Amino acid sequence: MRVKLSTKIVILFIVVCLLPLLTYSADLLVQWASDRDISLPIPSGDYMLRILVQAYLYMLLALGLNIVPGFTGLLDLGYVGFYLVGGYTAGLLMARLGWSYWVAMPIAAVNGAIWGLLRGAPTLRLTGDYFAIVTFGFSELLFRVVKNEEWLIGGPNGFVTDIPAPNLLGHELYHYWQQYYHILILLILTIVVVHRLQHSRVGRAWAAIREDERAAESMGINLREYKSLAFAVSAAIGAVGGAFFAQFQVNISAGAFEFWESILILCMIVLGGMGSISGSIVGAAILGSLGELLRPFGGARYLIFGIILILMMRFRPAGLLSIRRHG
Amino acid sequence: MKTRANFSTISLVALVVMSFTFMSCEQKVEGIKIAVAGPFTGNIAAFGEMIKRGAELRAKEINAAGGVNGKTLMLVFEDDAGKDKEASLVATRIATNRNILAVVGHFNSSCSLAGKPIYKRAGIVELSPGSTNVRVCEGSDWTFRNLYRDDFQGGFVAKYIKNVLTDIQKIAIFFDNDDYGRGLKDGFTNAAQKLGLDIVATEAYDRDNTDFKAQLTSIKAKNPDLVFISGLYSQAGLIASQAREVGITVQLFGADGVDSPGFLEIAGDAADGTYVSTPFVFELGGSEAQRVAKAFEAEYGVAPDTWAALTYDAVGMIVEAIEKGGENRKAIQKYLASMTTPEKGYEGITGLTYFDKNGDCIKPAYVKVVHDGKFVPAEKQMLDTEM
Repeated sequence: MRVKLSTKIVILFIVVCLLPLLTYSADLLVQWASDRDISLPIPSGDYMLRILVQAYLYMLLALGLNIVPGFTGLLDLGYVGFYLVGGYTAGLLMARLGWSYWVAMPIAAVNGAIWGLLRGAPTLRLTGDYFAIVTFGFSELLFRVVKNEEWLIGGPNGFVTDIPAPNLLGHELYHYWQQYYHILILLILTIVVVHRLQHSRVGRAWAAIREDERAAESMGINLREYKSLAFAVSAAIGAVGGAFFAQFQVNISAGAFEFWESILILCMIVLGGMGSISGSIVGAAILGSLGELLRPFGGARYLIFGIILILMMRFRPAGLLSIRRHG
Repeated sequence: MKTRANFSTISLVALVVMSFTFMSCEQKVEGIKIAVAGPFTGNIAAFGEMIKRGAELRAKEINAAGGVNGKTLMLVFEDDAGKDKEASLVATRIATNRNILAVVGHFNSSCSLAGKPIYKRAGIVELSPGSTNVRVCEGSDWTFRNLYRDDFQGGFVAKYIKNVLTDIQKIAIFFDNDDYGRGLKDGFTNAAQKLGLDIVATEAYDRDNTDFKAQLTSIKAKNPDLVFISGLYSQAGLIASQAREVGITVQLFGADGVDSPGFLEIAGDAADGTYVSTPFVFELGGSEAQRVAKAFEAEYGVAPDTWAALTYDAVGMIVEAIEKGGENRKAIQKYLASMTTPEKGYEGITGLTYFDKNGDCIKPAYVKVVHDGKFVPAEKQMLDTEM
């Protein structure tokens, strides 16, 4: 199947590619103005880019999570566990063994997929609340291990420090614009993979499982295989996100992988519309940057965050961009 | 569709409002700007509040005395909510704002570590008044702190026991299974073994627990002369009262995590006689510390704590670096990095601060003891910093 590129998507793509230029020209404008003693109230380009990188990272995670609750209909409350596996796999390989990011990241993805399958094995027959509880327990378990483990991570609170920047042809990629294109490429690859999967035989099998497991099984869909595939792909994407996060953050601690992150990512796909790729992206774009955009409100910003969520759910209960179901 | 129209109007209005506030968040600079970053919201906002007040009080006093090089000192408060992800965003915000000359912060060790690479790349000083994790200052010339590290404090407690509480030989350790409790325990154990103290039991507890009798009973069986509680006040309070219940009557010792009025409230009578170590005691500070404590209380209606005092000093250090070093980021770093001996150190209300090659500071710890339901300075202090 070919991916059809509409004009809208092409325009969006070009805009997204040119965003760093825009933020840095804002910097130049501020500089030019301050030379003339005018203070322009525009935040710095690097800061805007950092917010964008964070939003893109959440988009990637939301797309990965979306595969399980969105495509196969199983509520996953422990997605952050895979994010953590990816972050610590890449972080430890790079900081302790000095491996290149380009090796560590794929290994992190594979390791994530393995953990996805490991978690999948005992949960294949579970659905609904029971599945959700197991996923929650799983991520909490990983979180506790990382927080307390001494032999591998070497200490309390899971500090892994001085993770080096990825090296590309002798250049260290640590500038914000480099990180921006780095996550943009990962994100586009993820979108392509997830989109292709959704519209393939596999995607339709997942949709069948979501709508009615028994009916799907009676039609000859191998539940074990398709569910395992969904868990593995979803976990691998989460782990890639984790690997990116590790090198972006430089010093990581267990605190970044708390249960709240799982809920936040889940909120993104619920807000955007479960099962929809563009929905996940829009949801992540909003919730992934809202906390920061509301910073001027000071202490009240999470209050406003909550009010916006409630309003959204009041006016669009099925999510911003809900999927059209065929047939 | 009607709902759809409503929805787009609301989101449009929301967007416009948001972009306005987003844009109006900065004002024209007239004076010297330094940032103060800490957990001003979130579940440890109580610490953030004290940090904010300590910094504000110092800025007010400096400005009343004519400012910095004749210019007004302006503080920019940035909230990291105690989370490392937010800390990196805040750090980027600060580091890329060329008007800000230095940062006092962050409080949590994880936040200081998150900000470290960003401050290092941008070349701006990060001076933490609260991060005690061993790794915070390693590997960056731009990160400093004005209090001791977890391992120093653990070692200090062991040394204090050896030198002051001389009849104690057998020690039991009861530690919080978290970074703070463990770092402290490790420092304590290492030093205690070197000093020839006998550690007869090491038990862990989880911060979510409220019942510690099982571990306490097994500690009692080892018959120690002293129990070192390596954790925070809320659990330490319960541990103290439950220890008395299971029949442990020996000396209790805690570190700065226990140094809180909360400990006295929870433990009640059981707290009496407990020793705690802490980075600073206002009562033992000089006349300047007494004056600041009074001014603080007059301003905010509550007594200042250790963190307020350390932040008060941190702001003062940065200002001294600006006045004596120069009004730019590099000059501030150079000045702080040159403070490597007691003679070149900064004399603040929390004592003399000077740095080692990492930017860690060499500073004494104080000891307090609970007497009649109140913390009072212990009779004997041990203020040398040789380890």
